[in-house]
Amino acid sequence: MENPLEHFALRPLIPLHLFGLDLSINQAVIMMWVIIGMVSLFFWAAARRPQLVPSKIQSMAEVSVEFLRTLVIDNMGPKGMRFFPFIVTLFFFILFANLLGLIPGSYTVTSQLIVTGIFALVVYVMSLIVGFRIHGLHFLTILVPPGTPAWLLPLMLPIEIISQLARPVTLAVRLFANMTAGHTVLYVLFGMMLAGGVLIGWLPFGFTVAVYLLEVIVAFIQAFIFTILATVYLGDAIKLH
Amino acid sequence: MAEAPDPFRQGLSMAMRLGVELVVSTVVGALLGYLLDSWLGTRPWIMVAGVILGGIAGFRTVYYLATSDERDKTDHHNP
Repeated sequence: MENPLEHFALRPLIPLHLFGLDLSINQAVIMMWVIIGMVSLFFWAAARRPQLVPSKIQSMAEVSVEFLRTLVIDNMGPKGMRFFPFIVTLFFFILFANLLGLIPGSYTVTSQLIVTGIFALVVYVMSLIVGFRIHGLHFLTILVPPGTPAWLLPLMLPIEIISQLARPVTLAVRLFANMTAGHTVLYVLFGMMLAGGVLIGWLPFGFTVAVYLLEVIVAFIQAFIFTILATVYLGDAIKLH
Repeated sequence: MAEAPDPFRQGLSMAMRLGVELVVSTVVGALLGYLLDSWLGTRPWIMVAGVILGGIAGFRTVYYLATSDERDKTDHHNP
């Protein structure tokens, strides 16, 4: 109960060593399987009996997919619809990871920097590949904002390079930091409730409930931000200014 | 699920983007400078420049974000 960061630690449940790599099955791996299962279940239930007047779960799925569709078209243009399945998968995986992580006793995979880091890296490398494929070496002009006077170039180039390199890092750090911070706050508040007993414990308990509700909103917003930025970065690569 | 974002949510998501953007840009600038320094042996000067340039890059990104509403209709250079 002393260390509020202890519950982020991963313990191997099924030790597994292959080719000199530690591939042990830990809580995060199991949670990812659960997430994949839940997302599949959600869409299976939504598409099981499609009706013209949709059932509750069907309309939930329809509204969110429709919403992501406008997001992709707005930020990436009609050409971007090729990435639509990827964007939808990304959004729902992160959303379910955030939400299922809020269930007491489960594990939040998005509170691991390696998980969010790999997501961000995949999105960013993908945007680089797409950019170089569509525009060739001309893609490098993404480092020069339109309307830059020539004498400003020596200053603008390093700035643009830094802000380009910061893209995957912000993407990863934002999601990771929000999840870790939120869960740490919840843990500390709940610990205060246990320590406070009946007399004063109700106060931190009230805060715990309030912060928990906030965390549900944050779970949605963080999944949403990650997806928006993924579409914006990919859209930049497709449209190039 | 994800309804159209209401103003509260839009504001909250904007606020969450801005802070991280500033910090990470500065850190990335410093890190780049540090690496260049250890490569060229000019510690600490490029790192100092990196921190400043990173800060500028962060502010520039935040400026682009904050004014993106007006630019949305015209061009689409979103940072």
